[in-house]
Amino acid sequence: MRSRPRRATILWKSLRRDRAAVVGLVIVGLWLAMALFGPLLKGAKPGQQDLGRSLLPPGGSGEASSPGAAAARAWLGTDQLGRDIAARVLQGARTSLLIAFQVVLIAAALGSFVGVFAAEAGGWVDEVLMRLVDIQLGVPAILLAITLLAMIGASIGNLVLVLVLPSWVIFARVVRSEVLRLRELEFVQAARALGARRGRILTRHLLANVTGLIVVIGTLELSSIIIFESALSFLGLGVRPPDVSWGAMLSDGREMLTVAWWPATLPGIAITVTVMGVNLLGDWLRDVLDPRANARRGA
Amino acid sequence: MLAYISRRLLLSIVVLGGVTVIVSGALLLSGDPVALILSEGLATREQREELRRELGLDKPFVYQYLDFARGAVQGDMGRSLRYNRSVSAIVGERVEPTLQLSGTAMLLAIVVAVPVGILSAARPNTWMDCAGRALAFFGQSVPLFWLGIMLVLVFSVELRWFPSAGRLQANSLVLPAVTLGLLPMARIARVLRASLLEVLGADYCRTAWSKGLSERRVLVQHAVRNALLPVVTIMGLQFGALLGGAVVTETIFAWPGLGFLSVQAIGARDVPLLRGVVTLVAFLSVLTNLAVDVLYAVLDPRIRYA
Amino acid sequence: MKHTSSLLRVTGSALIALALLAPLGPSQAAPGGAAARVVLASEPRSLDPTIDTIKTSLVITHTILEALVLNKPDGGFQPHLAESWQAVDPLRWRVKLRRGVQFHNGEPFNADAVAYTVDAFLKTRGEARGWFSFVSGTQKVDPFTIDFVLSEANSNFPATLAFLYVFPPRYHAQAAAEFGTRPVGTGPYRFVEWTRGNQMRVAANPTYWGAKRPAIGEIQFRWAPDASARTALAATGEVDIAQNIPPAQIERIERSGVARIETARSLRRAFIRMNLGNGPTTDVRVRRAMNHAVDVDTIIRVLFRGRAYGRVAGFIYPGFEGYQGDKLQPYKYDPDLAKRLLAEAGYPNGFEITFWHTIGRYALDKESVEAIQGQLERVGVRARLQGMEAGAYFSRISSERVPGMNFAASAPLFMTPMYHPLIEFRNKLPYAYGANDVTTQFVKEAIAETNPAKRLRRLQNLERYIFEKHVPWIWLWDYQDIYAASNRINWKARSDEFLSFEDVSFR
Repeated sequence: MRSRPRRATILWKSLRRDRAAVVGLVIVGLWLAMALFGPLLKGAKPGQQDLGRSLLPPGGSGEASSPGAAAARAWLGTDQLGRDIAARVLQGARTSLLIAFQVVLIAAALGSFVGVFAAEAGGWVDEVLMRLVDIQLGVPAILLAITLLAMIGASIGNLVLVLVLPSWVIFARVVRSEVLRLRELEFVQAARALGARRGRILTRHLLANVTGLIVVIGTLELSSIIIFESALSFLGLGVRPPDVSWGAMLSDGREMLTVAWWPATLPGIAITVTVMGVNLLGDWLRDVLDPRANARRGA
Repeated sequence: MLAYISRRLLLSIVVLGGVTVIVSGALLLSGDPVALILSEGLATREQREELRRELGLDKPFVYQYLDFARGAVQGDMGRSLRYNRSVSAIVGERVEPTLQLSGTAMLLAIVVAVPVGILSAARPNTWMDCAGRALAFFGQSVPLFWLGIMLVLVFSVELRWFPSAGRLQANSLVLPAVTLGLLPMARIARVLRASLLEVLGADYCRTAWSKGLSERRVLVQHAVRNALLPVVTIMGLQFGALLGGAVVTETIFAWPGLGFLSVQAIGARDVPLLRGVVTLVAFLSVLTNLAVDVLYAVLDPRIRYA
Repeated sequence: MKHTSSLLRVTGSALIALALLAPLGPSQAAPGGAAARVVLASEPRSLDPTIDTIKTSLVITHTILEALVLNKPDGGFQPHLAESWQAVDPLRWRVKLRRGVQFHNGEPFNADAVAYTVDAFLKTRGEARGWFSFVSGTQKVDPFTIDFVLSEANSNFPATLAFLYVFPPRYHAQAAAEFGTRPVGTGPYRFVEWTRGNQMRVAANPTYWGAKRPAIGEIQFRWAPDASARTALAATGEVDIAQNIPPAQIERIERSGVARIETARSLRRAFIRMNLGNGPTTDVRVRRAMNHAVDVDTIIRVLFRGRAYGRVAGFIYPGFEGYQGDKLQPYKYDPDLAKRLLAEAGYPNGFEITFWHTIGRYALDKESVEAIQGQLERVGVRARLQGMEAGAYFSRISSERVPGMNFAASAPLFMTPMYHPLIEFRNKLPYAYGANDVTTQFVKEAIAETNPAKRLRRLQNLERYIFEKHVPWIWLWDYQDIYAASNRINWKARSDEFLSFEDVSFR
């Protein structure tokens, strides 16, 4: 209970000193705002085609699509089917961030649960769960993901599923070892000696203390999930039309790259900027909330 | 020590078993491979049934898996549906290109990351440190498929310095290796810098300083040696990631390795081939992890082999 | 700063080590005679035609192995390893074979080799399995005469022999599954080497039986799935022939100064097949409405940049028996008419429909399908796209009934309209559901008919019935095959996706 206001104050203070973190916060905040409120903006719809406006360069307006209508300016240009790239990048932010947040929330919940459970149960339960984690870490995640997606079919639901798979084990591993470490600490030992119930120790002391850690890992996972999802969509195994994804836009525009640079370049910049923002935020959170994580997770 | 290694070995076998069970299980969900083979022809129902028997697809899953496992131990991973050749022969041809690409990428990563990490840590908060950190940060944030495409656009389409795809010429390796090596480079540089800073602040380094040893000797003799441990760990972890990154990199550059093969196998729904690729990659990655663990144990005598 | 320079030295020597690790290119010049360098879109899985029947693979196989008859560049076929044929009775065809032909390894070409090959095609578990299922067996009459015994009458039998690539029995049996990695045939080129993923080389066969000796000493094949990469190779003069250049990249080739564009009207025709057994598309008015809702001309103009032929009418290709596409009136783009037809059929507000399609199998397939989806939406038809890799797509359309509609770009299996994959002559292909009882009857009669004039009439009636009454498809376009050819060679493209190396020469 007492740790919460203190943590917020620490965060605020360090934020005022850390310019990089502010940049990260602004980037992530802007993307989030655009993802949430983008659909309210007037103007071109992400799926709206107009073959008469195929491949307009950024800022181009082309001819009016129908008599009477003013030719709208495409600020970031249009793709081969004449769809507005700005609208699609916004829509892509929505898809990417939505998927990434979902995945991280599910993975964090599942992973933390398994981590705490394994640590608490110990013995063969712990052994079996941790071997499961090893199996998951044994194959490169992307290979397993494309295999599974090819088998069960590509859809947003399935995509979330295969992205959770490599992610939950990270939470499980770290939370388990953190719980094991905390359990040996004085205040938990003391609580136990005072006869506190096991469940109470778990929720009050252990979980409360690993929350910071989970937030840090969650942020770092968020950025790798964004890249992972766009890679799968790039390979054609992730988000499918009419849903819009940065990875899929990039793969669509790739063939035209030597003719028109913008359809493939702009979504790439969007991914890079977003991931940078999240990483800046993640670095800062780690410095503040979990100084030891630096050496342990290494990245 | 021996007990530790054999325990790790046993664990590796468990991991491989688990991976193959998962992949084989997923294949059950993938639909009927027989329909694929005979789709473009005009086969009769009897011919389909016959093929199903030939491929052993009429048996229950457990038997199919045991057949596979028995064969795999002897180096026989069945027959590819679409190549009609032995899976082992096909994947065998692809191992060398993948190892060459990921090996070069790792080498490149280390060659760049180690000096960058050391310089960064030796002169914290100078322009060198800033540049090094920015490079590492960029490497961590840019998606490699985009990086690959942009490198092709600049260095092969515009400047024509390197080929854009394939493995025909000696310099074909450059762009894919740079693409694949950037992420591990970033990770290694960051870890090296962080652990060096930690070590440089430790007591024995301070003692060395106070004894009047030169900066270079402190750095090389004490700090770097101690900082290497986490770097070795991260290298092991990154090697597995490299094999994964190879899937995307090889696809972009049409590099004839296991990653490219796996994407082709998926496109063709060649289930036995895909299983073979995943099994082999899992094997390689488990082997690397094992090697790193052992190396780690050798480097750091404080580790208990339990 | 002293350690900086030592680090630089370390870096330098590591980079040298890196360079040593690089592969040594196997691209030596051809021994005797210049080499033609070709880049194709995909690497063959096998050079055994019973296993890999994809056209880009057959392009290479075709230089090494030969079939009994040879397709002509502009439709029709001519004798090749077979000199003549005749039907002894409706179920027995007698084929006379060419004498004095040898396989590259010295094995003789004769009736035994053909019998062995037919057996191999009937027994294969590769893609060609079932292609000759109408053949029940062969009987050797003399060393150069062989009888094919059919299980049902088939006037198209000679055309199907264009796919019967003959194997050398001894070598094929001994090489078994590895035959496809180092094939031996009777063709104008001998297999030399295949470094997986890099390139394949074939060399001129000095003892080739044909009147025309191979004009080039060696052909080197390589592969680049990425169209920009193929374009770049051609534009820099690194290859002599590049396959499948996208329309948008044509200008790059033309500006290069080292290469030019060669095109041919393809035998591949694009359709959309609609479900005739289920849903709104069972109503022929809806199927007509769908035809009127699609603006093929704009798609050809914008996406294909004019590089496609449309809008097509009918299913028989120009030059083929029964062709009358020039006399049929193509469906016009008329969204208002489409809406009226939909309203008449009871769908004033349109409907939802699943739309399966391939990704990356045919030129601009994904882009065209998305454009069609956008056009259908304007008349109220909401298509839910399901794009698939070619492998997954073919697997699904042949094992399941397509729920709504699917994009199909098909070329004839053999040089005869009766083997059109969409009407498939005995209705055995599960995805040939454009067929109904009427078409099946038409085709059956046409195949059994031996009188050419009557056959022609039957085919023309079938064509008219399908196009005007049945309307099982949305008619789209014929593709244009676009190649880049270097200015140092003479070469022309042909319409069946094969590359004619016999006519290549250096300038």
